[in-house]
Parts: sequence; C-alpha cells; structure tokens
Amino acid sequence: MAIVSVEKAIQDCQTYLHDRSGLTWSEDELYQWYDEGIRALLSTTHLVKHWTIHALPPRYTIACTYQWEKRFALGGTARLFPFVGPSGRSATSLWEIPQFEQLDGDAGHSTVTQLWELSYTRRSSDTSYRIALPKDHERLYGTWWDHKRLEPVGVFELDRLSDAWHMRQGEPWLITEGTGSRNTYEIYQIQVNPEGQQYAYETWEDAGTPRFIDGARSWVPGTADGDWVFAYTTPGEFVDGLAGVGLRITGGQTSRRFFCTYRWEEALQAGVPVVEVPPSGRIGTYSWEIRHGATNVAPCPVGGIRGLESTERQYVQAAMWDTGLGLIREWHSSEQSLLLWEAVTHATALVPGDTLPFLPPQMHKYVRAYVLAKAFGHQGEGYMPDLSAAWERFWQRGLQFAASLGNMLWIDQPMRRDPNRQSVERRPRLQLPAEYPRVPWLG
Amino acid sequence: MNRRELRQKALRMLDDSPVTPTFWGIDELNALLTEGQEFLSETLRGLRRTVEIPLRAGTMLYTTQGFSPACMVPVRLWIPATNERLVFSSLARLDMHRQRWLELTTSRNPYLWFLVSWNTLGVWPPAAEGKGTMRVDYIPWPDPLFDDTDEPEFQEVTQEVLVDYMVTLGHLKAWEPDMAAGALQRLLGKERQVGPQNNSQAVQPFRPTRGTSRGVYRS
Repeated sequence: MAIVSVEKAIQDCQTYLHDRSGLTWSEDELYQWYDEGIRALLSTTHLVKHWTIHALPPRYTIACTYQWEKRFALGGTARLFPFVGPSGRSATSLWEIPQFEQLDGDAGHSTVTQLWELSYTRRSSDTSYRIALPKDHERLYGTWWDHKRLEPVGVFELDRLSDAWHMRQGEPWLITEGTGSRNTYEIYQIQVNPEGQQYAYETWEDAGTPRFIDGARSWVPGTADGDWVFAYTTPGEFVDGLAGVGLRITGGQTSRRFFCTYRWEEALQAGVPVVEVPPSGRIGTYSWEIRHGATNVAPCPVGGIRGLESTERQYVQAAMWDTGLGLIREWHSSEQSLLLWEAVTHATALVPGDTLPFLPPQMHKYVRAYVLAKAFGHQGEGYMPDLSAAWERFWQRGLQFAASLGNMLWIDQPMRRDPNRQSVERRPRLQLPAEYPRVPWLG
Repeated sequence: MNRRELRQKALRMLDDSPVTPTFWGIDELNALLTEGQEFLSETLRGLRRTVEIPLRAGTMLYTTQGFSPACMVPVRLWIPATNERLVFSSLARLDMHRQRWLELTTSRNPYLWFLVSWNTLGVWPPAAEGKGTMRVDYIPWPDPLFDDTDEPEFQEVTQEVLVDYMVTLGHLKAWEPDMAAGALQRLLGKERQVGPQNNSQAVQPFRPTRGTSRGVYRS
C-alpha cells in the first residue's frame, strides 16, 4: 500500500483503533508516535545513509560566549568560546581573562568568531577544527578529506602521538570524537589554507536563487529533476497522495473567482469584450510541449539547479549553515572538502501534509505497528496489553527486516562472485592429545 | 489463487461473508493483500526485475528510486554494450584498493559497484562518457494486484502466507488479541518455512576496516 502522505498514514492507524474522530487517541499523540516510530527505525537500523560534504574550516550557525545563547541557534549548531576565567566569567577573547580577573597573562592569539576566519589569521591557533553535524546525524561510517580516507582515532591515542597534536598544521589525516559534545568531530591536522575554505557566497545572500554557477572544471547542470510530475490549474485538481513536483499554471489570486490559463478567458468569463489576445501563442503545461509549438514553458521548473554533472568527479551538494534554506548554492567534490558518509535519522517533527521522510512507503506497515503498540500499551482508556504485544512483535519483525536492508552486504551472495572474498585456507592439522597412546607405524 | 480467491479465503477464516463482508471494505482487503505481498517479498527476496538506465559521464552515485520506486535493493549490475558484469564491492574495500579512488577518472566504463544506502548505489570508476546503458537487476516490492482475476507473482505454495497475513491483520483490527497472537505465530512460523532464499544469515555483517575505542566507526 503506497502511502506517501503522513495524513493518510495516521488515518490508516485510526482505522485499526476504530477512532477516526480522535476521541480516545488524539491526532497529536498519533503524530508523535508515528514520528517516534520513524526515528526509532532509522536510528536502530541505520537504513538511510548519505554522503555529505563539509568545507574546512567548518562553519557554525552561531558563535556564542554563554551556554544559554545556544538557544538562538534555533536548532542549528553553536560554537562556544572556550575562554573561562577563575571566577567563572566567560570571555570572547583570551586577553579579557587577565583584564577582568586582574591577572598577569598573555594577550593570547587572534580571536576568531567562526573557524573559517582562521584562514585570515595565517598563524597557528589552539582552537582545533571541530565540525558540528546537523541534527539528523546518527552515526559516522566514513570520512574522506581531499579524496583520502581519514583514520578514526581516540584522544588517548593522539596523546601518545604528540603533546601538541591539537595544534599541528598540515593535511588532515585523522578524525576523532575528541572531548567535545555529541555529534561533533575533530579533524587533525589543522589545515590553514585560504584556498581550502569556500565561503564566497555572501553576494548571493538575499539575492534570490542562483541560476548561474561558476567553477574551475567542466560541468553541466543536472537534468534529473528537469520537469515536473504533474500540472494543475486549481487546487481542487490536487489528488491526495500525488508525489513529486507540480506546476500550477495560473496566478490564483484569492480575489479571483475562477482560475484560467489565458488572460482572455477571464474577460470571457466576466462577460466583457475580449481585448487581449495571447501574444506568445500556446501556453505549455509540460516542458516537452515546446516541441509541439508551446511557449511560456520554463525550462527549469523546480526553482533551482538540483545537480551538477562533471566528467571529472562526483559532485555532492554542500551543507550550508546560512540563510537560504531549501536552495542548493554550492556543490563540492571531496577535493579540499570533507566528505562524510553518515547514517541519518529524522530530525524534525511531522506535521500534516508531510510525506514519509527517507523511508520507502512500504515501511509504513511497520511504523503503523509501532504506533498501535504504543496506543494500546498506553495507560488509560483503550489500554489493551495483549494487542499491544502483538503489534510490538510485528514492529520487531519490521526492525529486523530494515536492519537487513541497511546491511551493505545483504546482496545475494551467488550473484557477487567477487574473487577477492574467496579465501583459500588449509584445513587445520589433526592434533592428538599428549596422553594419546602411541600409534605404531604400519608396515 | 487470484485476488478474489485470496480475499474470500481470508474472509472465511475471519468468519465474515466472503462476498459481502460486514466488517471490511473490499478496497481495504485489497490493500491488505498488497501489504501481504510486500511482506512475502521481504521474506523470500525471490522476485527479480531488470531495468536499463543511461550511464552518465562522471556520475558515481545513482538513486534506485530514480529508476524504480519499487526497488528494494539492487543485486547485480551489467554493462550490456561490453557484456561486462560489475563486481560488488564496498566503500571500505575501495579505500583499501586505492587511496585516492574518489578522484580517479579513467577512459573506461565502471567495473565495480557498491551501496551507499538502501536507495543509493555507486559505480566506480565513473563512466568516462555519457553513452550506453547499465543494466540493473534488483529485488522489488511487488506491484499491487489491480483486478480480481490477477494472480500474485509468487509460487502457489507460498501464497498461503498472503492469506495468513490478511487474517492476522484482520484479528488485530477486530481487537481479538488471542486470535491475533495465534495467527501472528502461524504467520511468522510460515515465514521461516518459506524463506530459504533469505540468505542474510549467511552473509557476514558489515564491519568497517578500523574500529576505535571512541566508537566513531562502530557499527
């Protein structure tokens, strides 16, 4: 059952609860459990993994002095200044500590707000590169810097390597969880190279959607999403469950009593003489209609360039931490960038109108089982532990299947025939115990 | 058995009228049958589909949902033009194979493939030219049955699982916990019986090349 909208999914759950009006189990509860179910499925099974690109030095949503300021990151990432004086006073720059505490001390190094500013200090710093990953990050499976895999190490292993390992400069070759907060990682060594950081997009801010992108290599915009899935004139034509990008071909102001494709239709409907004729011929609904004489069909309907193709390497859209959510402004390969292979989960609460995030629609039946196990196992009216246990068992079966789907080596074994995996080993020699009686030679 | 026969058999087991059920809508039962097919396909993993997708120059990652929304997992890749089968690999093994494999470009077609996620496959090296196609064999979730005379793609002997699935969900919907528990037990028992093609147990679980005490790569 291809359920793609969350509303449909919740209605399906209500069918099994016999509570379509939400009297016993409110819709809010069901949405919350459905959300939890998806999150549990993704977190437990690591079903969905992504390639994500980050620039080095890393960027944060905000940089702040106090813990309470983190709330203004609004769910983004926050970098906290590490300078705290003996009296507990937090400071932005190191020189503030001796100033306020009336101590003798070094003025310290250059203070930077965002780590990419280190590229302009052109000197070493005791602030290492700690990259913060988005909220949907679940587990890191691999990291590459400049096309080379970074080796994961622990802090104590690094301590054995060198006392000042956190200040070493050079090409990054190690990654560690370090001593920072969860979902952040440190990269060593520190590469302070102005050419290595990419932040020259400030001129694009508040300037709309980028349509023309420049680069040093040959590339072409991707055409995978070069057309819409459906087109419609009025919202009434929306069929619930339609997935993909649609194009509405009318203006649709609220003051209008009807919708039309051509301006002259409006005059016709209003009963006034038609004075305007379509100056540009036929209006096309789909881009392929251009070949049949249609005009006024935008060649890039989705609003922005969604992919880049290059014969030289694979490009992945880079994560951006600034304004302009929903737009892709930069693509990077792993050259001079950090490529992460990470398992992700679902980070934002589901609301009516959402589609199932990340999951194939076929997994709905298991998430539904999670919701119903929670609903029947919930203390209060409608509490039925036996039914809850049955749905829970169904949910566990779904987890098992999703885990096998998330396993990269789930593929049919005979189809692979990878010669490198066939190890030829000699059988172990037969060894008799020491107290075994001597075996006389025959003949 | 066709769709009507499967539906009627389930209704008889649920003690409802097979022609005009009182507790069920026909569409509802058809949807359950579709779910049952998905369930059985996840168990058997025996169905196969083949699709040919165009090779793109320089592209390493291909989304399986791009060529089939019903793709559960790809199992075999082939370049028809050269009759060359791509060997399944992994990102860890590519790292072992060549340090800077990510930047390598060649003048030939890909000869290795790997999975990045359940819905993303990668090929290596990326095709030098955007010419030709790549054939992908994959395990699908089966299509829904659209007509009462349609028959499921599964073998007759395994179609009992479809009935058991509908009966189990039927008891769960009717709030009959005891009956539901029994039916679920039967369903999962049959799943184990009919699932000899499920060889996931024979495959070693994924282990990254290096582990750490901090668990960066722990899987």
